[in-house]
Amino acid sequence: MNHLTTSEVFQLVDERLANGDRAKIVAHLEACPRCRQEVEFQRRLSRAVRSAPLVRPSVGLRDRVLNAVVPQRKKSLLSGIVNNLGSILGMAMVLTVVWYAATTTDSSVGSAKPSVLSEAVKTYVAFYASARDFVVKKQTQFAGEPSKQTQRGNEDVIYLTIASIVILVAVDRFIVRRLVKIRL
Amino acid sequence: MHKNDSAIIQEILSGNKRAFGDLVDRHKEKAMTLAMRMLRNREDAEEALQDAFVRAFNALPRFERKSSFSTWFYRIIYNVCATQLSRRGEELHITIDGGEDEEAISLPSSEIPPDIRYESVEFEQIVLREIEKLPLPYSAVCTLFFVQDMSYDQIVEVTGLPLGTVKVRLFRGRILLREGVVKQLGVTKVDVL
Repeated sequence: MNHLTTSEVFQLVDERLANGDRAKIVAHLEACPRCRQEVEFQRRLSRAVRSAPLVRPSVGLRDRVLNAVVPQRKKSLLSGIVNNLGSILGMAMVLTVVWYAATTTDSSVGSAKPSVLSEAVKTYVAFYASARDFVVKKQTQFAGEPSKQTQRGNEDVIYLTIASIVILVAVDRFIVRRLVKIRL
Repeated sequence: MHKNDSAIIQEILSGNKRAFGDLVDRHKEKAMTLAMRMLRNREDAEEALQDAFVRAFNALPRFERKSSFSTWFYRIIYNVCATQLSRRGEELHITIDGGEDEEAISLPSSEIPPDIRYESVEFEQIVLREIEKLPLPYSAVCTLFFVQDMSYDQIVEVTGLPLGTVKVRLFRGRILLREGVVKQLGVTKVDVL
């Protein structure tokens, strides 16, 4: 019996045989355990070579390549503002709430038992009201009587704070992140 | 969502040069494997890989897309590695005795042991060791064929070798690999298949 040549074994394993040749070789394999064993060995060997672990380059390769091909630009003032727009807006929101609280006198929130949130807001308002009083006192000393503040209920502070947070999240999520992607 | 090479290249050519980092990430491990198999030294392979990526970036506007990016890129890294080998005085393109016809090649063949545990770690380790031991001319072609999953024509494009030479190198490389693995499995030589 003529055994398969090495070339035929490789062609079979690589699935490069024409249909006619393949049928002939498959018929031979059914009758020849030695060639069957060789084909099985070559199949397993090819699979093991293909699945052998790849060599990983060191971690910093991507950065090294990018540093070599993309010149580092000095960030412009505008891009700095845009990249930090979320923080700037967040600070503006907080300052707005602080200003609102500082310009509002403390009053009763209601007759019902106060919630943890309203207690927290009251503490928050009281803290900044103290600060406001201090500033107003100093201002009075140097510039005379301050203008009269509008009287408003502190319960508005809760809604304003919640609204501020929602607006802040929305602005950051839908505007700032998209602007940052522009990479001015 | 993962972008393909063409989409990334389009992005780079449109002005987002940093998108090249995505191409680096997509190809670095297979390319590093080729460089290691050719240069046999991690430091040199890393240097060749970085050099190849930088060259690829600079040549990207001239990439005509007649072939895939990977084929085009592997040609670059293959040439960079070949240049390094040449500097070291090692020869990648040797003349192989016995002609260029794979049908004419007849090498001794060892008997395969009947009870190989193909799924074992030991078998995988033996195969890996023997791949790394393949002589240079065979190693590069076998890596392109098995790891990069390239066709003969693609290997011709990458290496610049004639088709016959690629076939013979792959054929001989596989025989050497087979012999090495069987030898490691502890079997004596027998006649040719």
